Amino acid sequence: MIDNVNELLVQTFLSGHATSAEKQALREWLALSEENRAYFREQWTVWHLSGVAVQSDQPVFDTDHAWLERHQGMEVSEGRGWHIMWHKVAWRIAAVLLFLIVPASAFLLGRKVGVPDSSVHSIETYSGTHSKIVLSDNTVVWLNSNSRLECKPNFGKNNRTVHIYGEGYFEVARNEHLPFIVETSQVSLRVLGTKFNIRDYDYDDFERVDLTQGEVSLYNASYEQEMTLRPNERMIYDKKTGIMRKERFNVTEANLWVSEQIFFNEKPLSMIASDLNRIFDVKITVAPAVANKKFYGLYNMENTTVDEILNSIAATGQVRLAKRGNEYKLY
Amino acid sequence: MKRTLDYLIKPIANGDIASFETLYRYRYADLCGWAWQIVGSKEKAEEVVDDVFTQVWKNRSTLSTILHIDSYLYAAVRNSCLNELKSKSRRQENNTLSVDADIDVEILAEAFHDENDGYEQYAFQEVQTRLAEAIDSFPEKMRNVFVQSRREGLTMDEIAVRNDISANTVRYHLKEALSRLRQVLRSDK
Repeated sequence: MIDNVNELLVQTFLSGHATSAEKQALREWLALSEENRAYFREQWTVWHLSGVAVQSDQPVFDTDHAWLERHQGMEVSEGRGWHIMWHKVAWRIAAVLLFLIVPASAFLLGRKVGVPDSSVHSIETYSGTHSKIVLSDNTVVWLNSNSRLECKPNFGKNNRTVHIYGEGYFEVARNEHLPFIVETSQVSLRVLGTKFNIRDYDYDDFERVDLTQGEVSLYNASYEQEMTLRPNERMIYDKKTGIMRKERFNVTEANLWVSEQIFFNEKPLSMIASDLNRIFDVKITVAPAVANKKFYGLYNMENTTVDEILNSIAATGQVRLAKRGNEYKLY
Repeated sequence: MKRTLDYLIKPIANGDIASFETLYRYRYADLCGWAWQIVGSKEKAEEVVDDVFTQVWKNRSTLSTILHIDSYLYAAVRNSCLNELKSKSRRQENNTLSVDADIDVEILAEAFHDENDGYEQYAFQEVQTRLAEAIDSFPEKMRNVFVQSRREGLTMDEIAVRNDISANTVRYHLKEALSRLRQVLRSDK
């Protein structure tokens, strides 16, 4: 049994308030028995693990970025980096083509449009455009490029259910009586009134929801999983394994596409290229040798062309740019 | 929603990079948070975690002897962090102010020097999320005491004054809070 005195000693040490004499006493106590040490190890472990939950100043750890850096090192050393990249580019092109042949009952090219009643129930955006839509319940949706939003019949009357393909940022008008439901290919999301971003492009391996305000609950029917998100939390759903998980994210980076700005903060060139491919509907390829170089930049989407962005990157002298028609190569 | 990633051990041991990516993506941020709690620096935390993953991939052929991947990762990150603290205190050897930090390192070395560190018996899957949920479900007073101690670094006496309760009550809440969190860690795998 651990007595009260030593219990207090351990707690005082963990909270960082132990004096030198107390530390010395703790050390001697630990040397006495394995039972004491095991008790300390468990308390220490719980204390540090729980810090993640209560400390608001924890930095944001960027998994995508870290993996990309590591992944490229691994792939290059095995000499097959290009296969992966081309595979992804091919899917992207296929996805664009798919959207072009889907008939649209309304399409918008970057204009801000209000939808005052429930007669319009499908809105679609193409490559290089995004739209701001006001639904009949006053919910505002920014629809990113290559995305489609469908409202269920009688939307705003007896339901507030929409289906999204692609990416959208939602500011849901509060209505306690009629929950707002967003369905995606895998997950359905239920809210009363919140702000969140949802992304589920069919070429993405992961579906994600970033919550900036309020609370959302998520449900995945095929695996019967539920999850609740709080502000600054992100749900990531792996479409291959069906695993849903949660991580923290930095709000300022999340929805920049909504503000019509393009922002790279020390982002690897390969990720910048894939963003630009989607935003401007161009084809930029990056040589493996420079794929990992990082750049910083902030551009206003409305009056910047992809050439201007690429030229400014090339102007750093770190990479070279070649252009043929709509195709660019950074090397 | 507790999911074990143990099914990834075998494919990773066989050199499947996609399984390694899955493991990395699921655990990188959580492990960085864990490392950050111990070493207190973002860069160091990222470095430690990335190094642990490097070792996992490099020594993947020996991975099949591991029972629980999360216990393994959390213990490996912890060990690297403790080593980091040790070398940091050694670097500051000449600094007379660091005597206290030296004792801290010795205390941790004493507690963790055994091979059997107990981590195999814990459920580390999504552990930070589960702990956060447990903290949310605490009675309000207990949660306040725990958060003030944990987040603001207040002493027990300071917490007692701020909440107008006795030091004994603070102690009771802290003890009960930690014991509930220990149950979360120990909950069946």
